[in-house]
Amino acid sequence: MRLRRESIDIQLGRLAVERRTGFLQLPGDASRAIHLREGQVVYAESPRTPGLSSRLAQLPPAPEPGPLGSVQHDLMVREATVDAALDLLTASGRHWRFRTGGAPGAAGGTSLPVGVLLAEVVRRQEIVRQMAGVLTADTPVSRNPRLAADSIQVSATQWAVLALLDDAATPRELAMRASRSVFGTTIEVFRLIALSLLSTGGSLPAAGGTSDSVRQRRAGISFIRAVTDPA
Amino acid sequence: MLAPPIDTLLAQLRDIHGFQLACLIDAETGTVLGSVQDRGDLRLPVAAAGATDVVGVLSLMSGSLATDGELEDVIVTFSNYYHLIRLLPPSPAGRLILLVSLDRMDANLAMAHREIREFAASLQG
Repeated sequence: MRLRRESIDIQLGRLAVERRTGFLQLPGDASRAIHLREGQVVYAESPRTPGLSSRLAQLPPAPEPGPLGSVQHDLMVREATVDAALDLLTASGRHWRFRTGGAPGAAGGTSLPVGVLLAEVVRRQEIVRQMAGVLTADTPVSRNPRLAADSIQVSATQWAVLALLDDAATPRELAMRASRSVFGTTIEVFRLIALSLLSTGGSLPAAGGTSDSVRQRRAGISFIRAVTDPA
Repeated sequence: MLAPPIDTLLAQLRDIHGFQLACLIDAETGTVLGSVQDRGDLRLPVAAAGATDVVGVLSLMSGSLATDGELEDVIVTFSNYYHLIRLLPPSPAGRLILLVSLDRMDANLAMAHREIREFAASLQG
């Protein structure tokens, strides 16, 4: 008799109900894991997203003043977790095994309910789907040599992305270099393409017409469509 | 000492007349980081996603206009609700959006605008 394997989201749901503490891991692959404490997700890691230690190294030595300064550590853990979970749950299909054990100490004391994590991953998958005609996290982009406007204003984050881009790189490579969210960096790259500061081979307009990818780039991404009209 | 959860911080906004909901959103990813809601009439994920889209469109506008100004806030007026969207200054954790929705019948827009501006300033010391 052959046992039917549970998908990772069903496994996570069952572990949440049973309030288990430990981690889900691919056999023989210690680099991919989702850590749980009493049924809640405390941390997730993937070699395809920046790790927690490099992200936390960006924090100032002393917390910034004000209540938000004291939660920045937690916000970074949360983004590292969701960023890795998006990668792990999207690429899944393999058999995950649960083992007991503690989460990395740097993950701290915060946790995410499994339902909240899964809903956030579904929302992000929808945004990824919206961008897919133009850009994925693994699409090489380069600076556009043909600027349409005399001057363009970018945010500090977008400037940081532009500064990291030497020749050509993918959003994932840029995120790894900056120790930032792969999902967030892909969105910022998409916005820089919309501003015509960056381009992919596929987003350049065809002679005498407008390609589908350019039409999609102009339509942009919609967060509200991702929660009201998912595919 | 554990840092105060964002929901606890946002609960201070319940004192604003006409308060319906408040949430803090990561402007880059659209992720809701914390929220408080007094009545369930407004769907929080939809309101948060809408606020993120508004900020995204206006950022694209300011990027193309290149007037060297930063978006500070947006007031959206519906016949029955006010939605006040305030952008917080950048921090190592990213750029955050504060969304506060108010029942228009009970709210004083000028007072609420000032209270939200002061609350946002207090978040970053």
